[in-house]
Amino acid sequence: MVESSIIPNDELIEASAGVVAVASVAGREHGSLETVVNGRRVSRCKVYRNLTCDDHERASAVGLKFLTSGFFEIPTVIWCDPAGKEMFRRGGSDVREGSLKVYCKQIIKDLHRAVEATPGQQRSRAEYEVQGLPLEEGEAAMTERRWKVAVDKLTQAKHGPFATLTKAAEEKLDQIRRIGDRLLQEAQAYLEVSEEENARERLQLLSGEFIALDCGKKAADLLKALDEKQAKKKE
Amino acid sequence: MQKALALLAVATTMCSAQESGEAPREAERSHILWATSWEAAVREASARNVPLMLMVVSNTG
Repeated sequence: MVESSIIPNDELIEASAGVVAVASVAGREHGSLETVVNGRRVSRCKVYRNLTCDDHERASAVGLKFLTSGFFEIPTVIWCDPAGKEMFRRGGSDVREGSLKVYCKQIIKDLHRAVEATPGQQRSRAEYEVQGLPLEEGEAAMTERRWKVAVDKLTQAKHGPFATLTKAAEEKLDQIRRIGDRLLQEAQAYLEVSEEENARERLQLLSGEFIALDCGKKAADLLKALDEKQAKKKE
Repeated sequence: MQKALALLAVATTMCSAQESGEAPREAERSHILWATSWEAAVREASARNVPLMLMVVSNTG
């Protein structure tokens, strides 16, 4: 692994907080590593350390959508407006290890140009993360079917100054609600035909993972009633 | 050329603190923070009203 001190890039790192950076990289021969994030063991790319290799490979398809001419320089940095429309680009065919510092300086210049070309009030990453981070974590938890974490994070993400994020969090929460409601309906249907173990399986899931939602609370009540009923049978 | 950019990427994403289990964003404050997807990037850029920097480093494995 190359030491970070080889390339004087502090200015670029600092300036990058003023934009949103996307790495479009096909291939994963550089490898990944196991690490611990928020107490969970996860895989991360060895080069783009806050990403998985899946993340940057998915983004490589986006890069190719912009580079349609059949011939383009690798690397190329494409600067886009906040909606994702290209403003300008710079190829890096002259990049050699010795001139990397020069290239970094050019990227920084371009970065400032892109920022200046974006009219209106710009918000900091720190402001965004108050809402954006829990939203991202909630969405990731949803994908992994960790419903309790997802509900907790998405509920957190609802509150903040960014209306679009509030809306996105609410939509995701609605999706989880629908999943929970369907599970509850299934459990109730099983109870009606006395398939109690099938009902219990769903009620336990709901009263654990969905407890912050109405369906979870109803499931907890039904589970309690089922326990009492089965205890009476045993007496 | 690609090697040079790989160096850039490594240099800007070195993240030793993350390996020790610190919260990832805290560990990444001193590195370029890459968006996890194009969709997430556009959402953030739109909300913050800031440009996107799409760095195409390779087109093949």
